[in-house]
Amino acid sequence: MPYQNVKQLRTDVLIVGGGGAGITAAISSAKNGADVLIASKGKVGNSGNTIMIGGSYAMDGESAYHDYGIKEADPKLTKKVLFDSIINDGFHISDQNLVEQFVEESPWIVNEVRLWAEKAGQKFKFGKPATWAMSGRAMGRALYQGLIDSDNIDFLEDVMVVELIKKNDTIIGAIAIDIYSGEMIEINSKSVVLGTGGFQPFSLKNTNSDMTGDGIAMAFRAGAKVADMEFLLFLLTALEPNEIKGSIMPVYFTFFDFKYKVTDRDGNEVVIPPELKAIEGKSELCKLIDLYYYGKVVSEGKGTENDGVYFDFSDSTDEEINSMFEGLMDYYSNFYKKGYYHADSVETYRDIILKNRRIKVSMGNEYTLGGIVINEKMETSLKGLYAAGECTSGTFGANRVADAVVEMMVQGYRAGVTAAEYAKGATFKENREMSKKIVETYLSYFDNSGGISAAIANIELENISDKAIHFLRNENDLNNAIIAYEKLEEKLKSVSLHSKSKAYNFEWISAIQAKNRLQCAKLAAIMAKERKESRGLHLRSDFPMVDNERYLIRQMAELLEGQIVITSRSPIVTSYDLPIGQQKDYFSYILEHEMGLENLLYNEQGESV
Amino acid sequence: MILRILRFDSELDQASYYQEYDLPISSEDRFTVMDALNYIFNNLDSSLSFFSHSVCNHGICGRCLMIVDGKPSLACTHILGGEKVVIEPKKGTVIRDLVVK
Ligand SMILES: Cc1cc2nc3c(=O)[nH]c(=O)nc-3n(C[C@H](O)[C@H](O)[C@H](O)COP(=O)(O)OP(=O)(O)OC[C@H]3O[C@@H](n4cnc5c(N)ncnc54)[C@H](O)[C@@H]3O)c2cc1C
Ligand code: FES
Repeated sequence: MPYQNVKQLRTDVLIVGGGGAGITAAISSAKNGADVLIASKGKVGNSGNTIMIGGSYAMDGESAYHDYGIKEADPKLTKKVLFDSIINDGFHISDQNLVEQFVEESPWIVNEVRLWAEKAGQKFKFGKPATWAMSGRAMGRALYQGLIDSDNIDFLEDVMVVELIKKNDTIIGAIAIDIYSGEMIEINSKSVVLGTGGFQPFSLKNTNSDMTGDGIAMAFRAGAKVADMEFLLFLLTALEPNEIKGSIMPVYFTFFDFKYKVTDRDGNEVVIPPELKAIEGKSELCKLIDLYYYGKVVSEGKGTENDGVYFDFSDSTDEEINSMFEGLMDYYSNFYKKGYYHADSVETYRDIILKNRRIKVSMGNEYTLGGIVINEKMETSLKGLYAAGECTSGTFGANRVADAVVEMMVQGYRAGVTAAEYAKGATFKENREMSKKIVETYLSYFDNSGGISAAIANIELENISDKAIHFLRNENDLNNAIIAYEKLEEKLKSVSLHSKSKAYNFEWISAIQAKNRLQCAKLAAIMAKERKESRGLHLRSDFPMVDNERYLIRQMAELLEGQIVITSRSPIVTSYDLPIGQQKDYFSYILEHEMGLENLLYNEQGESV
Repeated sequence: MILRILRFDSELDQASYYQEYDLPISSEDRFTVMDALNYIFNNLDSSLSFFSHSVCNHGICGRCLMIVDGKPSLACTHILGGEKVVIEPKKGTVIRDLVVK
């Protein structure tokens, strides 16, 4: 298929991604007068991590109570408390202009989505301070309702954008592949919004398989800055039984006060000091405590098969176990068929515990804090390019405190407004030479032979990542990983497809995804190596101190003449004074900075995953 | 366990045909159909096509529907049992193998 046969499309604003960030961006762009086209790798409103949610989203209680008349809300969780806690619990490296945008603009869109949900007949369960729990499908359907109520939005589904087109430092469109037909598409647009979500480079998966960092990687290749890639959020994730592997159901055990011990491979208890145990389950910082203590077991080679620990219920009777699960199933039945969490059987999970008295769990990578650098208007460092949601960086610093789904909608809506405004003053431009080159590059995958397969490339990538950027990190593993990633990058240049048919050629799609995942994982390893301290979700066994003297910074990467250049800068400060430089050991730091927020950020069940 | 899969590639084949794959798994492994198809893709035959992009893997999106032993099932939640399992595409226009649009 030569370039002349590439399908040509035009739109004022091109939105890449059909999750919450993409959908809200499309809605606000259209509202602001733009013709909008969404190109989404999955189905719009039924793809990405947006549908994987098994938790909740919130607005501050003050706005809920006073501005939206929700009398059950708790106004003690003020905007100021939310702002301060995002910065504090994010270890002070959030860009505060982004946190302000999050806090100021989120109540309106949170309420709007709630109304769409009601209209679409979806269940959202309210809890204090002002939190709505729901399933991912309900969130997807609510957003879809908002979309179909808007005019001037077209969508291309199962279409993967592979590269941005640029002319004189301005983004002027993108090249995409229709996954089902294998056809290539050139989309010319006055502006582009990326809402492509995060990246997930590990073998254990709790995310949607869309999460291959495509948007982050293609923005980076086009010259945009990306930052904070070393910060990856991990959550308790089931390792067994096989059909439930990847479910985050075990996260709920902490919220529902399940009684169990955590043990290593040999049955030795993993002891978490009581003063830390006291904040587990009450504060966002609990994820860090789990990551450190379970990660330590695995790093020291005492983990179970597949890098896990045991949740050990041997001190509980059958009756006690049954009653713990009964409570959990009652709660889930608000959103799912009784006895299920999504489509995973809670009864099966319980029965294994009843039989074996223990079950293997690990920590799966649920969310990417790093990504494309944006400002409070969602402008990237490239003209004509905007980004929103999980593919961006900067709001949550080193640890995600507030809701990612709120981030996606508050940033999505703003990105759409800015992109539409920009489009009004812009004209369509072309860069035939670049478009042609991109098309040829992606078609050349079919000409290779004898190289690595896409499947093996992805498995190798996961093995490198599992070893170096999961759990506790150290200089030696990171150095080895960077070398290994670079070797794999070389091998990927001749990645070969066994089947040469274009229609639904997943080897082709998977090879492209491997390249993007690898780009993101390598940047994560480089930044993790450069950050010689422990902070938030980045834990170094060789540098256990939080070092505000040297590392109260955000790291940024940029591609200059084909070379990765890493720079750093202080976070943008608006009203929260940064702590003065000092080194402190990680857990003293956590205890000192615990804000005593207790359950303020949580609803009654405490679930915010 | 044997997986007997109905295959068709519109760019190569005149008609569809069954191909059998022998997997070193048993009922005890509790493999889902999706796990088994991934196993084939990764280890035996990467030309096999099935719904593999935008996979939620927990029965959320509803997009991995196929016919397993004659019954419509979600590949990511259907647990494999028995010695031999027949997998066919769901109703619709077959794009390739188990992929239907
Ligand atoms: C198991 C789990 C539970 C979670 N629970 C919660 C929770 O309770 N509360 C909370 O706040 N957050 C939660 N999160 C995080 C939250 O779901 C995500 O951060 C958020 O949904 C991201 O939204 P997004 O629109 O930015 O990206 P996504 O929802 O991931 O959407 C990305 C979109 O981009 C598309 N796409 C990707 N690449 C391309 C490409 N190359 N071309 C075209 N389209 C592309 C995808 O198909 C998809 O449509 C959870 C995440 C997981 C994995
Ligand atoms: S992949 Fe989503 S339901 Fe099976």
